[in-house]
Amino acid sequence: MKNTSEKSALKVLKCLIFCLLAALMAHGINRVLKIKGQEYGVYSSYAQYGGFYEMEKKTVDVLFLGSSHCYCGFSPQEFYDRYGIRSYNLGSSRQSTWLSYYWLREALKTQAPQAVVMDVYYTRVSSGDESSVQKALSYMKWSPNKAEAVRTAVKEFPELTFKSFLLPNIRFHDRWKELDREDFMLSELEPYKALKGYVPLPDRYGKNDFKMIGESEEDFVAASKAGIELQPKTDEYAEWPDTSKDYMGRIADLCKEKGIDLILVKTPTVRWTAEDHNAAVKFAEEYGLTFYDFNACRYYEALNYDYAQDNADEGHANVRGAEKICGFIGELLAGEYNVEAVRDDQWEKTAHFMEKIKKEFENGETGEAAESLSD
Amino acid sequence: MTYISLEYYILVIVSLIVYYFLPVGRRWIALLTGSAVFYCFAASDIRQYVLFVCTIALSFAGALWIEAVPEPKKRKAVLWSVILISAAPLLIMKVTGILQGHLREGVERIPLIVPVGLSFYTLQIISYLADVYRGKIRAQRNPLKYALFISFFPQIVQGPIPRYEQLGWQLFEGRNFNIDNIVRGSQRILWGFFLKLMIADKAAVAVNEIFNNYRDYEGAYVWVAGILYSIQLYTDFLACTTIAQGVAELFGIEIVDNFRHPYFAVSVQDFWRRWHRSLSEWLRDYVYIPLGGNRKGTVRKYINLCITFLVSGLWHGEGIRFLFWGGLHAFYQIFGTCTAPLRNRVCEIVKLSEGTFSRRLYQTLGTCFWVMTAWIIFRANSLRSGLHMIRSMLTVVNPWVLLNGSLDSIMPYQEWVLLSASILVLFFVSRAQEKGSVREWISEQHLTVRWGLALACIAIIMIFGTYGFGYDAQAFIYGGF
Repeated sequence: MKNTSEKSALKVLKCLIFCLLAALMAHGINRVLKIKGQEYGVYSSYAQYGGFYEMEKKTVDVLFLGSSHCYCGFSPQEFYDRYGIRSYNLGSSRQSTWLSYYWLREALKTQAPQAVVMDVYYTRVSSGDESSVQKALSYMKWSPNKAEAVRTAVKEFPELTFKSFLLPNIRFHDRWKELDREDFMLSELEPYKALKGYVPLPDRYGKNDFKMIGESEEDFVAASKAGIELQPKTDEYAEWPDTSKDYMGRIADLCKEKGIDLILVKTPTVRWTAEDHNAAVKFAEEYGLTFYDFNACRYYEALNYDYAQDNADEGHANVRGAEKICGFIGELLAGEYNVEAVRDDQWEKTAHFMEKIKKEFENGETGEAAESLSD
Repeated sequence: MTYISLEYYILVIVSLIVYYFLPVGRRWIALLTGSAVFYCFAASDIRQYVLFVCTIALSFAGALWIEAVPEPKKRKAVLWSVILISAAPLLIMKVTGILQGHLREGVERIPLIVPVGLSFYTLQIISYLADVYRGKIRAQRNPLKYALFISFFPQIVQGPIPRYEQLGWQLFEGRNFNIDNIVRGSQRILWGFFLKLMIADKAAVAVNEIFNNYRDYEGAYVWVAGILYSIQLYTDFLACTTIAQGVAELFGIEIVDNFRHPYFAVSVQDFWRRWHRSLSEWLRDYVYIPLGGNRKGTVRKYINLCITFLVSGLWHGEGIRFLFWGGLHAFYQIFGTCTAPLRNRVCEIVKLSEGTFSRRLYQTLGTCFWVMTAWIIFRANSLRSGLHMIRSMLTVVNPWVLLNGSLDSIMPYQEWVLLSASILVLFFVSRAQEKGSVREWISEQHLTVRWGLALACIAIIMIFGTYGFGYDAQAFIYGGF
């Protein structure tokens, strides 16, 4: 009798071990299948969010949120090297306001930033596309915050299901046809963490089809004298979708509650209209925030920006453009917002990456930034 | 909630835990509760649930009434009355379906309440009532136990169609926990997933494309679609039965095999002994034999055969093409019987001896061809399109489309490779099953081999299966009948 029950117990134990092995295997498969969030040659999602969780607690003083305009425009290493400001870029491709909100909440669990700089480009739509949600949420750790974010994602994209976030193979298993070396050799993506969310773009746009936004009569007079064409003057403003209004309000309220300075910005892009500008100004006024629109004459000129040379394409700053934007915002953070310079090895040790990228850019090398990092 | 959904397995696990925690004599309550919950999720409308419960209540009372009536004539009248009332929803659905099938587009159709599993549980109820009438079984006295027999959740949607004497006692007698049942049940479920996600749903991509755009695909494409649909229908249905058997086995309950490698059949008659056996046996016992079977002469036998297959066609669908399909199978069998001496003579002349591999091969290929032709009618969007496809298959010669990459426009080549490899696995497993039990063979292997096989199967399904985002999950085909 005892023998039989011992045999049964052994079988149950074997079953449990098998289940454990199967679960480990499924976890491994999901790690391989999951999207790594490659943007412009840089594995942003995997390295960016994975790297963020590895930051020491309460060491990040400034956070950047927003779409690809954000992760191409703000280089945390640049802020550290020039101003000693410790920052991290949590922007992601087509990051809508609700994704920014949940990443802000996630970040506040471990960090106590003094300022949050948010690029407002994606206030214009309720949500980006489904892949943008995956890029932003795939590497967020599970918690009630992520569960809420996923529920919002499912609401925004009915083709998604909550369980596809729990079991990523439901969403990503069809990637088996496109799996590459990086999907298996995750260790090779580790160096990208050094960028702290920044995606350096090496190209130069070359075209000069950018039109600044005039905010006052003086802007139009000055532009006319200089022979520069501005965007047509308008008092109209773009209507933000309800989701954007709601989540921008939540971001502003959360920052206020935590005593964080929320700074709204818009990097230079030909896709930003005067109506978009007016909508952001209206929101900033409503919440008592400051909005730095680098598409507006006064800030564009203050940057000394050259759209053809400082942008990589129609919408994203290249390495030099980012340097200029970081210079302006860095001055602002250090001066007006009193963000102190602090020596920190987390930024100290990664300085050489940025130097290398800048050097390549100056030499006119247009190879993918990813390649320069993995060398 | 489908049999391959996460929610279904959560229900199974919860039911399993409750089942083995309850005292042995009360374990059937866990199954009944599980079945009630499953039906709640499966039914899209509360009225479906109400109709289902009413049918159960009525047939339960009807069976007791049949037993209570001593006079044979009156007993028969009661039996027919109860059968007619219990089968009324199915009959109404079939008749309305045929009538409405002829309505022009734009003409409003009558919305019907069709409970989930209607076609299956109606046959189950009829066999129960007939068996009570014949005195083969005693009517169940406990309405809840009877409700469990009719609604047992692993098989309510797609069968197999169980007999009371085979399933009833297994449900009501609580089974003791045995880890071997859990292991063997899980193996079956895994195999069911392989059949569904690696073969049936993969084949469905090509099948749907070709059948839904049949005017764009001719000749060899129709051959591909016909062969793949034959495999899709088989693996889809087999997957569902296998999963039902696996889940039932977790509870220590055995559900009958519904298939015995039908595409290895050497005649259409043999095919029907191997395909959807629970339905074939039901038709034999409750339609063909009561009509007189083969006891009343050759002509009556053929008429009975025709009626039985027309009933089968009607059971499978409401359109005229299903009746045609049923009639075609009756014709195959009658024609096969009539021409058997001639065919045997031809085989003798060309020296194809009985029992040889060559003879069996020709017989099997021939049977598969006739069955596939009928499946094309069965799957086509209409009888006319089905006939068009068969004509195209036989008259258009374009074998190069199989070789020049044209098929890649229907499905990427990697998927074709996977599908072909999976069908080969099914073929070799089926061959092995014909000779003995594959599960026994696996159980005799070393732990590392057994675990390796199971883990490989899980990994293959997880990575290469056709499911999830970007795919329309195919509902189990037989659930629609």
